[in-house]
Amino acid sequence: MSLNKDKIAGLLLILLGLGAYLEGRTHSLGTLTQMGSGYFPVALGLVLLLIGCLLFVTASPDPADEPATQPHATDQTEPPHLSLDHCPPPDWRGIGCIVGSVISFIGVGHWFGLIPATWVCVFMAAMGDRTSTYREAALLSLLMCALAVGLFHMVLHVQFPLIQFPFGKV
Amino acid sequence: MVMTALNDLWHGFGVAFEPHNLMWCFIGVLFGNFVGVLPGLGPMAAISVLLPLTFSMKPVAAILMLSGIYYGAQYGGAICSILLNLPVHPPHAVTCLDGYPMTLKGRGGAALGITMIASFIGASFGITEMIFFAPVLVGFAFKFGPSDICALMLLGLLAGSTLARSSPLKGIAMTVLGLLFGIAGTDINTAEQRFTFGILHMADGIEIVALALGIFGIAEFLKCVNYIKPIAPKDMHVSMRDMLPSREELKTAFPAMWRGTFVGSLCALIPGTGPTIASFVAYALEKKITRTPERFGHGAVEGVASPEASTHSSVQGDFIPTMSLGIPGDAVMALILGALIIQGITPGPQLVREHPDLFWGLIASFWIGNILLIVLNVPLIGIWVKLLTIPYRYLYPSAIFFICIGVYSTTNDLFGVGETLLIGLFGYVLLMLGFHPAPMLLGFVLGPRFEENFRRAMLISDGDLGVFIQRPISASFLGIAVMLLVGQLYVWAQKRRAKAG
Repeated sequence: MSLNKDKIAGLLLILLGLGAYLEGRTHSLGTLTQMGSGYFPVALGLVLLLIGCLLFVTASPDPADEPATQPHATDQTEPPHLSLDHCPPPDWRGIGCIVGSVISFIGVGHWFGLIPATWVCVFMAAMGDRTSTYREAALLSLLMCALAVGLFHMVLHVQFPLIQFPFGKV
Repeated sequence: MVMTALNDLWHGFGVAFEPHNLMWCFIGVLFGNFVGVLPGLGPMAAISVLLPLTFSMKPVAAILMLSGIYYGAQYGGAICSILLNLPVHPPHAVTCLDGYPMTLKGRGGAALGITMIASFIGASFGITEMIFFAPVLVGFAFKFGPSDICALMLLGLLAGSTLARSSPLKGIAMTVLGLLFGIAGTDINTAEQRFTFGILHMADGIEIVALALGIFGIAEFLKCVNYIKPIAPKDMHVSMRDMLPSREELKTAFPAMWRGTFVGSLCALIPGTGPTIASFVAYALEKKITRTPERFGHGAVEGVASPEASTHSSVQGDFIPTMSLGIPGDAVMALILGALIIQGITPGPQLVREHPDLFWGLIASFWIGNILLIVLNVPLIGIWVKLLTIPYRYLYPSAIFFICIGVYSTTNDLFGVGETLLIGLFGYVLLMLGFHPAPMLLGFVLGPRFEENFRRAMLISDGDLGVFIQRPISASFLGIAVMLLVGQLYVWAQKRRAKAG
């Protein structure tokens, strides 16, 4: 038996449902009249578990069958945006850069303040695109830094030190 | 009844014309139009990004602006579909079918012109529907008990999750997951911490901003990065003169616009059927009733006019259940509802009476916003078309920064940013597995209220589940829900059989 997308999806739901069920069981269930805090999570967990099982069982066994559930491209009344529904294979450079950029916003922001965090975050995210150049990315990040100071710090008064050092503000 | 509604509307115009509100309405539609044009950014991401910025605003201004983004984006969305054949905005995907062939024939400008007329007619009808229908619905909704509200929510959740894209089973799974996300945090009845895993920050539950930006922002960028190709600026000149449709085109387009408007306004009243479904139904209807179906797909004017009108009429009508019942029909409306809750306004039938300035001001702002959009779009069409060429590599890094700072500003804490990233990664996994996470937001917003009303209903009925079928209102809602499920099952079985045979 091969694992196709729907089977994995079903397994994921079963796991999540089981997790919700087990977490819910740590709270009191109560009765239907006097529902405890665990009643609702347990019920939802079981529903999720059930859906997961259904999805796992009804998943078409052959991965090659999958496109068949999508309407034929020649049928013009069918939604053409179904191409949107298809998730392309992961682009690791882009994903790595985006995840890294958010993490660096948290890290750099925590220790060095808003301006360095903005610069690093935008630069890193921009480099995720294969057509970006260092120059462009650097300029875009500078622009965003200006926006961070102008809009978020001065106009909206977001409480975030502009620049600081781990060993005390300057 | 009619006079009271008109009188209230007059009051609403007074609210909407206050300079402060007018400004935010303008900013909303302008920004909405902007993100609507750009491929790769949608109204969902835009509303989520701006949501944290509205916390410090007055409720009326905040809701006017966020709503403006939603309907403003619908004006921009068609441009991309017609000129570039890029179905990046789901409600306008169907417009590609006949809009792009019109562009190929050199009538792209006229298609845009017809779109604008259709949009305005559709929107006007949707707004009128809201003016007269919402108060009636409110009067009816006051008779609802907890079990009726529960049944209505269940219907809304089921419709929202099964009528959307992808398989109904996956849609329901997303809604249930959303409900679970929604009840994370401190339980309001027992003060117990659920799903917090001992993390102090989680005691308040998951931030709606973190969830929305995670699944509509980060997850989308993870999916689209390096897959959206920059658009060459050639053939991208549309001037105001080009937008004038010929007399013949107008003659075929007008009846189609009215049919589309009608379809859209019907779809708006059925919970869970948003503009996307409305536009597909409208297109299918046009193709069915025409005497010359062979023209469709080769630049038939009706194929542009009808879906566009239905999209806009359904977008405006979408606000009816949200504002009058407090039950959002789709994920965008769930966000607007979230914004209301953040502003300290309890959604539900009492909203119209307790916050008339908000309700009627919003309706009045729809008119103003739509007129502003026509003014923005017709003479400035050339500029919007140029905007199409802004490459994705500038857009998403800027958006990521906005997401980070936006989430940070809601709690003044970097924990929320990490939460958003995790939700984004989880959302990406869901996308990879063929889920559509949008119904999750619906479940998230309704989760706590669903649990509370269910608890209350059970307390009143002394633990008797039969109360749901004994009360006529809840019984009819549940009946519709069952019909919906059976219908879905039937369609699924048919598809299955077609596949086998």
